[in-house]
Amino acid sequence: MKMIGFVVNPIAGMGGAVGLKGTDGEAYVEALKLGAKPVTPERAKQFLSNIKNKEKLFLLTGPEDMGENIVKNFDIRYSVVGSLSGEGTSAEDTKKIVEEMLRENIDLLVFVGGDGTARDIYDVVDLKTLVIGVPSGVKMFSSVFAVNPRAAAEVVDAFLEATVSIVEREVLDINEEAFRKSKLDVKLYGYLKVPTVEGLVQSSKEPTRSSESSKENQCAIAKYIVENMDKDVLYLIGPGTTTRAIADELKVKKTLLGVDAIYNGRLVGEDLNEKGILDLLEKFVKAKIIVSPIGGQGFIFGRGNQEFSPQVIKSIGKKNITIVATRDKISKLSCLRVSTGDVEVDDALKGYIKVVTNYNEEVLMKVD
Amino acid sequence: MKGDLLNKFTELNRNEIPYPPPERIIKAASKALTDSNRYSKMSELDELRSLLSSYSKAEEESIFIGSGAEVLIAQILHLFSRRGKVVIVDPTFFMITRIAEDLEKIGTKILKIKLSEPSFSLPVEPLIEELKDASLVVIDNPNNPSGRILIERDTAKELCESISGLLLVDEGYYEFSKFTIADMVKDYSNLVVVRTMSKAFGLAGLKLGYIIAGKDTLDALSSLDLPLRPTRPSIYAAIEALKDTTYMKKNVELIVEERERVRKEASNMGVQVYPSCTNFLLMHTNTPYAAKKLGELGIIVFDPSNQLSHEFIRVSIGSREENDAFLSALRKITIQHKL
Repeated sequence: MKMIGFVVNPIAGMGGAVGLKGTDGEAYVEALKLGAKPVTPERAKQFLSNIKNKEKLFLLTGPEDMGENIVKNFDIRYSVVGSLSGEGTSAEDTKKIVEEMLRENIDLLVFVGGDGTARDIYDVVDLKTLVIGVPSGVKMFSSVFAVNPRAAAEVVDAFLEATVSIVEREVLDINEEAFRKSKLDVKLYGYLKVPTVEGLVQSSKEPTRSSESSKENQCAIAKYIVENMDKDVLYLIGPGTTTRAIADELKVKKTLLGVDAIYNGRLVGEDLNEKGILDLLEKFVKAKIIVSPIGGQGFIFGRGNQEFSPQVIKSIGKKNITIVATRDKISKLSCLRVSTGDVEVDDALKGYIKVVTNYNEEVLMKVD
Repeated sequence: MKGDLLNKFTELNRNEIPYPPPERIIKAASKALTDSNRYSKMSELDELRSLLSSYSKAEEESIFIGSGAEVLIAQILHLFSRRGKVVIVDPTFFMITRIAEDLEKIGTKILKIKLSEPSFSLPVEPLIEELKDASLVVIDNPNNPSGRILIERDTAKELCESISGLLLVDEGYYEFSKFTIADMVKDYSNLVVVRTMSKAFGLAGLKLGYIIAGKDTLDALSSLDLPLRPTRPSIYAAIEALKDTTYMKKNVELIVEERERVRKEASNMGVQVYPSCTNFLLMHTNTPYAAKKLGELGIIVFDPSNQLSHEFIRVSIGSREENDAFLSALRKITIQHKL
């Protein structure tokens, strides 16, 4: 029997679909105003329902929305530790609850959240404690997360069967204020000890190289995409420097870290959130998505571009999704990944997909 | 000896074998050098073709000889891509990628099929779906750098029957893998097999390769017979090598024995070593920029970071001393990284 700490950050990930790039600090209030809905309960449920060896574990969980409200619906032995400091939850609550769990000598800590939550946990645990993240934030550039909630459950099962490797993984976080202003400022906070199983735990985000050859590569991709763009089709262009090159080729201004819409070479939507995209989809009959995977991780949906919600993806369809990536980025990826939060949408996206990697060049690779 | 080796560079990056050819082959090449004011004669090339035919169990009429397998692969790519679609695997022999990427500039469309990690297997079904409009498919079998066989006979048959253009199979490491589909050329006119004498025969510096293919392919190459013809010393050396292949078989035996030793020792260090049926090993070291770090210690290995992440290295199997020097350096970078 292993004792596992299970803490949920109930507000993590809420900024994604509304285009806020995160919910650190005051952004949470803004997210609520924009109609953001909680995403962690569903992720936490997916995680718990996929654990096979439930009888081999005892959960210590946070009160109310920080774990208890979800755990109580499962046939798992558990106790609640800690209390909430006031209305709602805060980073301080996460830290206090985890500290209590550490005093109880947990064997493993599972958290549901994003990079901000990982950072809060890093502040209170040391390298003696094993930690694994169930991805539920907006950014999740750290390498302490499983690739999706199901994979997190598999890692926990492997941990219970003592078949995991233990490695130190990076906790990264970005400056959300800078991020909202289209600046990517990634900082390494430190390391956590993570149980891993090959293919189930993600790598850290790697930036796209800004070398001359990479820039040339991006320009060649952009030229190829623009030459092959269809008339009277709405193009929804995701974040990143490679997608920005497409906008540059069209001589249109692009939000580096947001979703923009282009129709017949004209910008018709800037830094769109999920609602903005769905509104445009009502107006335009044909639409396509152009996205680039996250470097080092391979996610095409579910990391840093949650504006492309399951509903948006369903409405557009897999055949209308174009992936672009530099040769260098693709060479470092063994597969592409999706983690939209909707298992059906994820499954529909799986299989083989072509990635445009240069003018006249594509790579056929697996979405896992 | 080890000290000497560590004081200079140990080159394990080009998949050469570490043993020089037997004296009789050196003598044959030297004899040709004395007449090097003359071009090679058709009769000399015919004698080589006849020996290659016996060795490969292929009809003489189906063999085309050229100055190295690389140049033959390049010619096939240029002749048969026809500004259409060329399909290659990824990762693959870096020269295939380089030539294919050059063809993009003249309008050829390139589709790379990413091999599925961790086994580096070929996803056959999606590949077949892409073949209908392909002018040319190029597969190295065994694959370089993974070292594994990508297509068995059934898959080769399926590919030949599905593709509208040519299937080019690079069997550069056939003597190590002992697996070939060259005999299928008589049933499939769109199959082209390329081989080399640079590897197991130990004649890398003489650059001699050959193609086994059907009539249509060889007709298309016929005008290149003269420009692609190997040098006289190469032809003489190859003839002598094929007259008695015992030394080549011994080379393979020694290399395979060393390969398995290196594989075991590197695995014991916690390095992930992929099974190989060639004279090289692909390793995932967990050490960032591993090839560069080994280079700083005097060990030159192939850096496949254009196709894989920078923790990967491809190491050629050298002599026992060279392999020991490599293992020693690998141990150092592995320990340094863990600290």
